[in-house]
Amino acid sequence: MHHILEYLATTGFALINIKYILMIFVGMVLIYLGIAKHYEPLLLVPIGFGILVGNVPHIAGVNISVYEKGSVLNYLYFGVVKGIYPPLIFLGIGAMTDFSTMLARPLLMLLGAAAQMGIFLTFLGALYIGFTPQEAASIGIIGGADGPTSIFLTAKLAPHLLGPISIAAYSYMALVPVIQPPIMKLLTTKKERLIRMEEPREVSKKRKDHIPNSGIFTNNIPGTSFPSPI
Amino acid sequence: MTIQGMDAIISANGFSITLVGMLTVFLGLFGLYVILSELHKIILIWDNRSGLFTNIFFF
Repeated sequence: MHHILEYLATTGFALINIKYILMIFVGMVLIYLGIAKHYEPLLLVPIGFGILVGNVPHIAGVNISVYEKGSVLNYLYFGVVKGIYPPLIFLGIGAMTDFSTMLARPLLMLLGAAAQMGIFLTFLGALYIGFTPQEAASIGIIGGADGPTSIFLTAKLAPHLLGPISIAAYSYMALVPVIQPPIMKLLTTKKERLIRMEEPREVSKKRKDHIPNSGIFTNNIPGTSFPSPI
Repeated sequence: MTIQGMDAIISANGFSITLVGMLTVFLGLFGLYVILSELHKIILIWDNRSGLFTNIFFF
C-alpha cells in the first residue's frame, strides 16, 4: 500500500483538487449531453473532451499539458487561441445544414435577427456590472447562442475569458432543449401547440446550391466596407 | 477604479454601439432575405440567357 501511495505521489493524481474535479465533471456532463441526449454532439463531444484533457492534473516539466510550450496539446491549442477552429466548425456545420425551409420562406431570417438582440442586451448588462467594453462584447456574443462565434470573438478581444465564456456558451446552448419546453408551454395554449404547420414548398437543388454565393455576397461585400472592430 | 452602472455604459458608448449593432444585424439579414427571395428570378434569367441575348440582338 505504501508503495502504491508513493507511486501515486509521483503522478498527477497527487495534485488533484476540487477545481480539477469540478472541471472534469463539467467535461463529462457535456460529453454525456452530446452522446446520450444528442444535444449538439458535433460541438459538445470535442469540447467536453477538450475540457477533460485540459484539466487532467499533470506534473510540470513533462511537456504533456495544454499550456506547456512544445507539447502536442499545446500545438492543438494554437488553433483555439488563433481562432482557426471556429471557421472550420462553421464550414462543416454549414455544409451539413439543409436550408430548404429557410429558402422556402426567407422571411424566417428576420426572426433570427430578433434572436440576435440578446447579444446587445447582454453587452449592456455586462457593461453595467463593470466589465470593460472588450470583455462585455465577448460576454454579449453568448446571447447570440453561437459557440464558435463566442470562441472566435473572445480569442480576439478578451483571451483571458476564453475558458469561462466557452463553458457558459455551450452549457447554456446544451440546456436550450431543457429550458425551452416549459417556456413554450407558458406562452402558448394546448390548441395552439396542436396546430399542424403546412409542409414548406419544394426548393430546387439549383437554388440550394446558390445559397453560399448569396452568403458570400451579403456578408463579405458590406464587411469589407466596415471598419474592423478588432 | 472600475466604473459600474449607467456611467459605465455611457462612458463606453454602450447605447450607440447597441443601436448600430442592432441596425447592422437587421440590415444584413434583410439584405440576405431580399436576395434569397429574388434568387429564383435571377436563376431563371441565367437559365434563359441564350434566349435573352437572342431577344436583345435579334428582336
